[in-house]
Amino acid sequence: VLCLDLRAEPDPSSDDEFPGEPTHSAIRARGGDAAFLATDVSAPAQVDAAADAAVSRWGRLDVWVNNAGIAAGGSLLDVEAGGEHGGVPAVRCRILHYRGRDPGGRWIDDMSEPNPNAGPQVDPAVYERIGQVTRRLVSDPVSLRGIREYLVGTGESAEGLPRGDEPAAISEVVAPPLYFLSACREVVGADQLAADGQHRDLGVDGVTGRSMMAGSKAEFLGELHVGDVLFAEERLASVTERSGRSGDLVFVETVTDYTNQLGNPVARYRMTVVFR
Amino acid sequence: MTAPQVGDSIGSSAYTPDALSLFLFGVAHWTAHRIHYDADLARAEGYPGLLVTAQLMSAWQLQLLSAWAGVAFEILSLTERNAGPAYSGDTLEVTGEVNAVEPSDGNGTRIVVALRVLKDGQPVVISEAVLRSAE
Repeated sequence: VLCLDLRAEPDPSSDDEFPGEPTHSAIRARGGDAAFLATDVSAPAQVDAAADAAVSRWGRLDVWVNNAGIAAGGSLLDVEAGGEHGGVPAVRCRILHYRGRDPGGRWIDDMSEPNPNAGPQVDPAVYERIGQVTRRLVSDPVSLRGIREYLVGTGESAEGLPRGDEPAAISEVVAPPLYFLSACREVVGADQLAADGQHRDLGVDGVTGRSMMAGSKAEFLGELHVGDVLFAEERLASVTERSGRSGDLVFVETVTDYTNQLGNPVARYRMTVVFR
Repeated sequence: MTAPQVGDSIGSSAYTPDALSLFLFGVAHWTAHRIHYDADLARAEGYPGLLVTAQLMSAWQLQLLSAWAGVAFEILSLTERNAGPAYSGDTLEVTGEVNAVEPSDGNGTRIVVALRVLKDGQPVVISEAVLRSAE
């Protein structure tokens, strides 16, 4: 328990100069662990510092009650967090699992978010899924627009592409070899992206940590045309745990088969992601 | 194209990706990973600058390979190993040379090309491509 229900500047109208201190002393006297920190709970920077202190001491923060003194909005547990710390004197309560901050300084406030500081974590159940399908997805139809963006984005000229009103010429367009990867990227809103902007594209469920791509093998098996729809089926190929010089590493290898709407193979992509 | 020989260069190309080119690839590839466009976050993660997207370097290698192969050879595969990071502002050279020329399973020829993406002569990506003479 971290007791901090105290104005940084003592309230001259109150007789009780340090109301938080007896609370933390009482908890300790009964065998609990508590710390006291003089904090103005209406000052966001001070509240953030208090949360940092709690995470630093106990590793994470499960329940957060930021009480500026006046209860409002019914039961404490029903009050919405709202993401605000100060300004309005009201009870704000969050029951969360704060575990620290991501590299951008934002709080990691959801147990489903991997803790980037925890090192690689492997759920043993993941080994039972080796060889099994770990993801399936169906792409949007390949568009001339998408291919044009890809050519421009990879530094190539898109001037050779036909215009949108030239259907015969469009049917002759063949997408660049690796375009199948871009065509199968899921387009999702910010609410589905992690704090670092990543979506679930690397690795599989059950392995977490800071991820980066170690290597890949792309096999090009068929052409991809405007209007084609890709069906991707990912299988978990292997999970390998190693100890490296800079700590533990986990290698996750997946193989994804891409076929078109006719069932013809377009590509096979083997990818190794390292978690650290 | 004359018949390729082991040791033949497939040429080279150079790129200096910056925040704008990384953004344009991010749009095309639909990646929102901040390390490719948010310099503050990239530094907070311990990188000196924006990271160059791996698939962008893959595309450069295939461009060089395709330009060399023309219509004579088709590209069967590209195997890559990421050897080190590349950052916005780095000048990156893509090179390759023929490593093997051998009979294909059919009548044609199978060629193995070793590719590199280099930064100051040091490998960022080490790759191998397999090609086959077009039927």
